[in-house]
Amino acid sequence: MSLTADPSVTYGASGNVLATTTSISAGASNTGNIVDFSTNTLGGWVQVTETGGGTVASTNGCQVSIYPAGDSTPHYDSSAMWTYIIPTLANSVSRQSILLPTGKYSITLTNLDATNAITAGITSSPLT
Amino acid sequence: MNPSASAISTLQTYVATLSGGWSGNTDAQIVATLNSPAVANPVAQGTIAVPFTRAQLLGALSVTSLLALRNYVGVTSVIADVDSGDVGKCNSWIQVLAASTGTTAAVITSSEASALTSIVNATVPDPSWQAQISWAQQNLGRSVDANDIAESRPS
Repeated sequence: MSLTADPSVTYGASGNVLATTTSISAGASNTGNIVDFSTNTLGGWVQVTETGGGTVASTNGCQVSIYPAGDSTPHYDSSAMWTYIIPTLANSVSRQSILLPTGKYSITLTNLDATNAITAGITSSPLT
Repeated sequence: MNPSASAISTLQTYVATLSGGWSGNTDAQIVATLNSPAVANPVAQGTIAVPFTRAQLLGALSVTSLLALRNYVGVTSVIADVDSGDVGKCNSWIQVLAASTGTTAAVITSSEASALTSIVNATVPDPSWQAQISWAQQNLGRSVDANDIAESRPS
């Protein structure tokens, strides 16, 4: 693969990896969300969307953990290559994106609020 | 902030009931109204501990007790815990210093122990408590901003 034109983004439909209305219980994780940019020359964008409910504990957030694949099986890393936390706001939608290089990734979302559920989702958009 | 679908629905319903509704109020006016203290705080006023000082506690002791404390083998630890303001540790020390047996005298008297206990465990109503909270805090769990209203305004 090689670039023959200016790079562009093909924006995916919202929640194309994980529906943005997916509920994650208090303290729980949603695992095994696969984003495959292995054939995209420049990788792609991954946006995580999180919605807080009516009540949010003082310790909160949607923790995003990204595990790259290392072989064709694929075997994903045991330790996340990137981790970031999106703070949870009551009755609010928060989104945060990261640009991932060419590769295949398993993404885990963890609700850090030990008392209240959140809804979250993942959208991927490849660069070409 | 970006309001959730639930928040938008709640905002649309409530603002429609305000004088003037959506059409008669600007976004700024609606933000100010929703963020103004308007309803009774459902959370009762709590209490906070009153900080105490070494001078307050020592001032509650007679000269006899002060001398006994000076000679007490653990006086350094007592003073350190008093200076730290740790209520639990001070309550434990009061119990230790007031203890006595037939052969071992107490360091402080029982009345002094009661006086010290009152000082260490004193509380006052929480001055940061607000008697009234805003509609936004009550119904959305947070304040609203211009973006909340703009995204909720019916088209």
